[in-house]
Amino acid sequence: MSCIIIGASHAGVQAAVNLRAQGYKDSITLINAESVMPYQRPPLSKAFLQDALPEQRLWLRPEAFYQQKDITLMLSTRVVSINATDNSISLENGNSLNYCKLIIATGASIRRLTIPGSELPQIHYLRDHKDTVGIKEQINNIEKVVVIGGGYIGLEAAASMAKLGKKVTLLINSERPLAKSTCTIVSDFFTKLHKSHGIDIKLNTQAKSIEKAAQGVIVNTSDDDALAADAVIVGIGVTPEQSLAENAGLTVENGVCVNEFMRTSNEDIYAIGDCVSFYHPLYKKQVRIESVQNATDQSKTAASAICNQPTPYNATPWFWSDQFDAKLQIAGLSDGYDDTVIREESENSFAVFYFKAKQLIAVDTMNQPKTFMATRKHLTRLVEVDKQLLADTNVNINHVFNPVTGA
Amino acid sequence: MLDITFILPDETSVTVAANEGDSLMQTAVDNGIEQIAADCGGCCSCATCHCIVADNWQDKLTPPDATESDLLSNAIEDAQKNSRLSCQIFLDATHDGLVVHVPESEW
Repeated sequence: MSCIIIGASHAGVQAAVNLRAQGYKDSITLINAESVMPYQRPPLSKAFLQDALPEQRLWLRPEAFYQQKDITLMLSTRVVSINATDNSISLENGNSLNYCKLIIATGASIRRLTIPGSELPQIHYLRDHKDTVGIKEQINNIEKVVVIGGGYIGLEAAASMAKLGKKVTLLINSERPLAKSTCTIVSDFFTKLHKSHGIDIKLNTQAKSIEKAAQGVIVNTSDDDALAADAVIVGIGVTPEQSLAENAGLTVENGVCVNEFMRTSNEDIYAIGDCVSFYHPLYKKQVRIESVQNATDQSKTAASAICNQPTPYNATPWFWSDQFDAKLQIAGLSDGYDDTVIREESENSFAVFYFKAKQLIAVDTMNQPKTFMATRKHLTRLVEVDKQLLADTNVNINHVFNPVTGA
Repeated sequence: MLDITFILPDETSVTVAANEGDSLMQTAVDNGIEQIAADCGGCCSCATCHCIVADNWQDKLTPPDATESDLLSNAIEDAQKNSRLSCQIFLDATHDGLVVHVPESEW
């Protein structure tokens, strides 16, 4: 008996921890291609980038923890193939390892620029530890930075660089930031917030090419601007890291397909985290979710199934983003909404509730943790909620849910 | 190093050595107190690091700020007057011997 976990980020490490917590007695091997101790990703674009978090505080667990829990950590080790027919994996160093159960926690890989000049050394990404370290090593040589991408990573990178006193230009290839993930009110709040901190936001603007300059680079944009920069940080999304699964003959479609127990199309192979496509029972649709919550909760589901205590996955998704002094917290999936309700306590503290076919499906809260928590707690099922009461800040948020849901 | 005692949901108690300057949450995570889930890593976003600090230690703690209070009062079914988010308690020399109760995780 043995369990091998490929990938030691949030999902993989938590799976190892949960296996032990649930009484798994046999060997657990946690394999990661990177050489550094397994680490948390959210601070890479925030506190760690801002030099406000020391290296060791980035680690998911201290080094001694893995020994105490009898978890074999194989760092700097790349898996080249999964051989599902004989339950083994092959490593880049030529060795192979046998497993009884395998957990794929390979995450996602960064989408790279393909425009002319994309290979220049001044271009940075933000996904892995080495990416943030690469920026930090150059930080004293950076005065002006162009950030490409209006998603969470782009916004957080821009905020962090501005906090460090850099002159930031943010290029967003749509009419507003976070265009795919939130509504106009939240986008506009962030646009205003970033502008108030001196960030130059250029909407509907693409980078067309990047060229080497006497000092740094020039970013040529679709509106014919030429922006001088000492560094470029790119945050244009990720794609699921599914090639190992695909080559092993597992079913993949925008991620490794798993059932409600995180089991793939092979009964001995599980998959969890950013790399996974699954049917969400609350939203009744196939989804792939990139978040710490998803990674952590799916690791519990997989560990339970492997320990013969199967419990179907049904966790409510939630997310957060910290930018400057603003705390955005999100519960649920707002995708496909047809109505919104605003609960505004002040210009800087509001919540947007998303509805679909009269049912509350998600909430975005800005500096309103109370509403986030109360809503998240009630989003274990989709219910109709009185919209007028939701909008009324004189009504306690918990009282809005209770009479209607009967909870 | 400081001695910190966690009393787990099954009443067993675990005493661990903590570093001054670390948060109580970090101490729990580093020492495998798995009931402290600490999903957000300590940025006061998720309330999965709920704990209850023994009465006689209250005067040694900085009171919760508004965000922590809001998370606690709305997240936890059985929030008690001594309920805290362990990510917001930073340990110093006065906390040597601190005793905290860890409830069963609600998440």
